[in-house]
Amino acid sequence: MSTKHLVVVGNGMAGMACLDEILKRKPAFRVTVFSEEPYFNYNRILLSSVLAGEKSVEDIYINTEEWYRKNEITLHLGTKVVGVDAQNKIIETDKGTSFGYDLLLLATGSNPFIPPIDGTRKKGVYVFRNIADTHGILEHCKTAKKAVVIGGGLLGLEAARGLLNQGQKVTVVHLMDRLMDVQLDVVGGQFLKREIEKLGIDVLLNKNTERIMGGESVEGVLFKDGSIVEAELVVIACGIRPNVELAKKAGLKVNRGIVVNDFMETNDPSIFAVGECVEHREKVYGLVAPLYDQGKILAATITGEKGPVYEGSTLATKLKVMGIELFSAGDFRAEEPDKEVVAYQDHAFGIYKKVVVHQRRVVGTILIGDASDANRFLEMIRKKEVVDDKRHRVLFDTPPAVPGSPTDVMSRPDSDTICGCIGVSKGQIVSAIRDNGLKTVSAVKACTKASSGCGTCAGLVQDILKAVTGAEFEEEKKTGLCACVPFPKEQLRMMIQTQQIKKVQDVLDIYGNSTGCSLCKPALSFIVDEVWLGEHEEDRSARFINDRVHANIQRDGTFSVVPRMRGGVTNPKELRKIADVAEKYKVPMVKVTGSQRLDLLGVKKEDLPKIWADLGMTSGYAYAKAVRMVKSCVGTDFCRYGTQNSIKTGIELETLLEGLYTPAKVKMGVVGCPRNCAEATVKDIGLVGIEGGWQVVIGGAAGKIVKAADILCTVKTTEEALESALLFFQYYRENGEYLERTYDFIPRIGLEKIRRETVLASEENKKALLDRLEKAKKKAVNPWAVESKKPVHPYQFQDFVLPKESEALIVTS
Amino acid sequence: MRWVPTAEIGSIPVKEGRRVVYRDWNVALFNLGSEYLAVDNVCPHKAGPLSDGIVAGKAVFCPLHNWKINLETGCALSGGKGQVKTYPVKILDQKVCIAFEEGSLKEAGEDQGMASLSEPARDPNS
Repeated sequence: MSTKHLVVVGNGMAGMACLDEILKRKPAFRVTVFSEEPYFNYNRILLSSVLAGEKSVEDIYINTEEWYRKNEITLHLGTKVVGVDAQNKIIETDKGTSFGYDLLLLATGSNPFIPPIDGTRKKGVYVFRNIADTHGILEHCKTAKKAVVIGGGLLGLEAARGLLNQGQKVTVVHLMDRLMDVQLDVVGGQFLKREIEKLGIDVLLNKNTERIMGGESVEGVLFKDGSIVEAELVVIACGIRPNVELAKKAGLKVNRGIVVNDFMETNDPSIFAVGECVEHREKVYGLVAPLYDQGKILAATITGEKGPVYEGSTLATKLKVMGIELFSAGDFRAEEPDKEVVAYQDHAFGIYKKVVVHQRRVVGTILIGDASDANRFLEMIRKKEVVDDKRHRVLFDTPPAVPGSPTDVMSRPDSDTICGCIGVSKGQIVSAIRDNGLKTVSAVKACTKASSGCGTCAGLVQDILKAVTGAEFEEEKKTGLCACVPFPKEQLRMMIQTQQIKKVQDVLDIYGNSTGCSLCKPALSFIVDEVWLGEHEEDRSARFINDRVHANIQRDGTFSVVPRMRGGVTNPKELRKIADVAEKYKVPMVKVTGSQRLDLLGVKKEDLPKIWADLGMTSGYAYAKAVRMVKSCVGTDFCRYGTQNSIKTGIELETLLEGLYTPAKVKMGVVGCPRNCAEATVKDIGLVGIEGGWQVVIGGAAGKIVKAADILCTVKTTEEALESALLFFQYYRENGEYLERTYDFIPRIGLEKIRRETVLASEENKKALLDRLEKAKKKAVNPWAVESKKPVHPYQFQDFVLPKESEALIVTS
Repeated sequence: MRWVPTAEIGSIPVKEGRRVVYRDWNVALFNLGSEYLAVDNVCPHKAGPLSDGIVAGKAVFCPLHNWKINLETGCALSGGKGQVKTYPVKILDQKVCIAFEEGSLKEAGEDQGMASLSEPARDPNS
């Protein structure tokens, strides 16, 4: 079967959710994704939380680099697709490149609608659609005090909330007679308005904007009725329009959106469309749940399993604005006479509940002030359940949930839907937690996708997780690099790669505060080095002094020199050279280290290259985040207890890995029997000889903390033991955070997962890991040999000691 | 002023520092790209060689315990309280010249040199 090339235009929620569904079906596709925004797939709904300062950009990523890499997706970030030649099946990008496709998936989403009024281009006028808009608004909030939001729909109110959090005096103006007119009836609109006003937000209804006033910058908004509201910041949230530009170029049938049938096919058999850009049975959806429904159907069609049909979605909206709960679903208007309304209003408490019954079934609902029954009603609407017998108490069927009680959600039946966006039941979440030993909300999210839509069920997911895991529950860990470059490492790596950034300073200039610090500069050096493997110009000023001069700085500013002594084995010739050097350069101390090596202490910086040249030995990297040593016991060569040849194996392991940089230092040990004389079980990687084989252990430590290593695997032959060690080593190199030792790395990732992805991985994946290790190893050099002859900078090791009689120039100014 | 010629321009890589020793003076001279700055090469904390530190904006991080020193004022910005002398620098005849005798403890601003041990100070240029 030949591999088809699937090109996805659009890296948003709909496109990637659909792609995820496609990949689940394991088709023989090669996948390329184009993203106009320079970010991974993120949760657009949560931009309001970013604006409100509750979440950072990295908090709202749905899929990180790992997902793209794991699924072998080629991702073009910051690349806009500008043309489609449907005849020849070619797309064109704004970078002037073109790509052929067999299947094309358009997930181009929407554009914000900007009303045709004057002044929308003034400084201080924003739309609120993407990360760049959000950053722009946040930046502008620093200087503005009064903000106007044009549009009182879902998005406008979310924006208003964020602006309020940013200290703005906020006015929401709306064209219609009630807020959220798409989701609410007149009474609901009144309830919501009162609640919003209680927060200190001004609400003006029936306001038709004439123009935005001001010079270069916005100063106010003028309405058709002649009234004016002052503003230093204006956010336009007047709705969205499907982005169909590309579809038109492709010659597809387009009405309001790209027209698709129930199989999510367009009128071109090679082109499919999903999400907000789509029109299905004359309906265009702007909410997240329908996009997921569409994605599931499209995945079946595009992978040749055409059959399931999309019949439209029940629209449900859930909003929570600083304590105001609001939910609306289905047909809530009840305008036809045969629809019956069951309602409850409590003005003092701000609670409004309305259920619409049609032909004995619940067809729609509005809840304001208390949305705890939202899922119950939504289930009723979806199941088209007959409610005759409980109609008299349909509004209050279940006793109210005890807030904050983790047992509450557990009393629900397993079939209950927890995540309405993706369609994940309580039972699925519980079994995912149990089967995979999940401990964090993000792990549950990654595994089940629950709470990756609108995110309102994240609290429920956490409650379930707490109830199932008990004491094992873990809070989320933050992963941003540092305050200078507030992006997680995976994202930085991706940006460095896709945008071909080869200098630490460039990363700082583009994504950071341009100055950096002693934490992020070495960390970025590590990432740039790891991505480009020597195909870049190293910025040595960004490195710690030890890495600039390949020696370890001491408290008095002198350096120490530790030559490599593989497996802790030396010989008279090496010892003689070390002794000669120590005498010649008056080295104050020669010391045996804890790593079975010799350390020359108190060396002057300018002597370093001369000492390296005289020694003619390899650097022991005792100064770097790199492979340190392999400590060994004497093993079967001499020891009467030895069961394995630990010296030979130790030297072999060290030879295989020496010269490689790692997220943090890597110490290793090989012992010939479980008596453990060379302490292999407290090393990052250890091989422990047993009768008839080896135990490979990882993540041990005997430094600031003391920890016995975990067993990665038990194998029969030395070859298998070495291969297992190499697999884990490379896996750690690729997935460890800078400065994260193996003993922190293993619990973060999980030992089981590490086993699955290293020693228990498919032969193909193992080979890929080992190939990448080999590639890096080929680039590894002995810096002492290179830089003793030719330093990176002619004055790398030079200080300026002036003769006492140096003449001073006397200048008058 | 008595200007003593030290390093030739270009002999110190950009954003790095070097030790300059002259009579009793031990000075750290930095090439910031747009200018050269010189301070005493002795960290107020444990006398670490500032010349070997990582440069960030107009500050250097001591290589021993990561104290951050403002190179224009000599004030410690994070780590703890303290100050090092600063020296006037001038380029004459392709040489970086230092007026060693004019070294001084500049007046510390209100917000400088006051950083506590626990909180890392903000970068002066950010």
